Amino acid sequence: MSFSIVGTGSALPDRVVTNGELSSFLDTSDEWIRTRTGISERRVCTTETLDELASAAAEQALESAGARASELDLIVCSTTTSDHLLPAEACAVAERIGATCPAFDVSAGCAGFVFALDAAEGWFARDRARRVLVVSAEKMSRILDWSDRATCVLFGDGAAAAILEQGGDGPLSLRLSTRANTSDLNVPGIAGSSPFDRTEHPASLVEMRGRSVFRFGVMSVVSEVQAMSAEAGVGVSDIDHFVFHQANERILDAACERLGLEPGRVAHTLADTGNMSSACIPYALDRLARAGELCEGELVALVGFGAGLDVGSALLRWGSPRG
Amino acid sequence: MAESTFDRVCAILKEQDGLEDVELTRDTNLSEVGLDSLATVEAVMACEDEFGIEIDPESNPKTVGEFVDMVDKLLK
Repeated sequence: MSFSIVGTGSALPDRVVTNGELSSFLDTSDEWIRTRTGISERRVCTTETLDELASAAAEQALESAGARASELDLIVCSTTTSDHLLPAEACAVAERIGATCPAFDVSAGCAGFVFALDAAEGWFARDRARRVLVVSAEKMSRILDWSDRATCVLFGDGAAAAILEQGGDGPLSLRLSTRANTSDLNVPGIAGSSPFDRTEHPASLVEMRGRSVFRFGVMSVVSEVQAMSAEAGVGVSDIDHFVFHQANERILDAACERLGLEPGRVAHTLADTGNMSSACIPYALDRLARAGELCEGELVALVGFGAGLDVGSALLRWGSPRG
Repeated sequence: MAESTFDRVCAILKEQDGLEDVELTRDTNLSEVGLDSLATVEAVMACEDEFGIEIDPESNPKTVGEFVDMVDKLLK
């Protein structure tokens, strides 16, 4: 059984942090950051909680789908930076929007949104859900070493959501894979205070082998687009929109060059949000949808890649089987 | 005569932005001619395609000579 995305929403914190502001306390510059990443500014939480952002994105998605929280059969949240280790971020969203359906989180790094779509697809396939909220919410600012100019300039906070409804002929392809590797991209867990624990506890901050992740990103995008195209029996040139994980503009450039994609078909949101981990893909979808750029029946290819090393890709037909 | 590894690596490096007209020798320092760490990875990836080899992405050659030697070692 298939599903379609029938509504989207997003929410960013108010506080804008420009490259210039980062240069005031890091040995970096606007030019250095822009030429290496394509990022000019990002949003960072000050008084907002992630629960608030995730719920605001969810409510906006419900509104755009013309649906009520009481009509949801499932909430899946993708996050790795929740306000709580327990309960799941999805439970906090359910409480705030007044939903009574099951709610749980998936943790799949920057590929989390596509992994969440896959979890939802199972519920549709088993006929256990007609309408699902997928929300991706990330407060990256809490896991950054703000003295490390190589990583903290790359990320931002934000949340975005999509309402899925049973029906339609999509997804034409939905693929998950894990090239198991815990050292290229890692955030150590909490230290706790067990008097018995003799293991090491580095701070819970992003550790990244940038060159490896860069290559992994480029290769993942290229191979997933080709694989989805083959699986769905459509040419890459027949795909109308490409929404890739927004980690670095140069990953996007290198992948697009290899695939021969024209810039106009590829979503770019990095400049004013930075990398919001799993929230990047639904955020880009929401921006495209609100700009009126996604038309009924168009093909939209998603590729998420990140810690895991997880890769999730989906080829969707945009449009709404409202029933 | 087949092109040397040096010539083929230089041709790949020259595809990077801003390096088209730069004279490259074995001693040319990559960062001094404007090739940053990500551009080096891009060149490494292009070399993998060109030579059909797999290069450790964390390898970070500092000069053209080091880059050529790294490729030559993998070709043996």
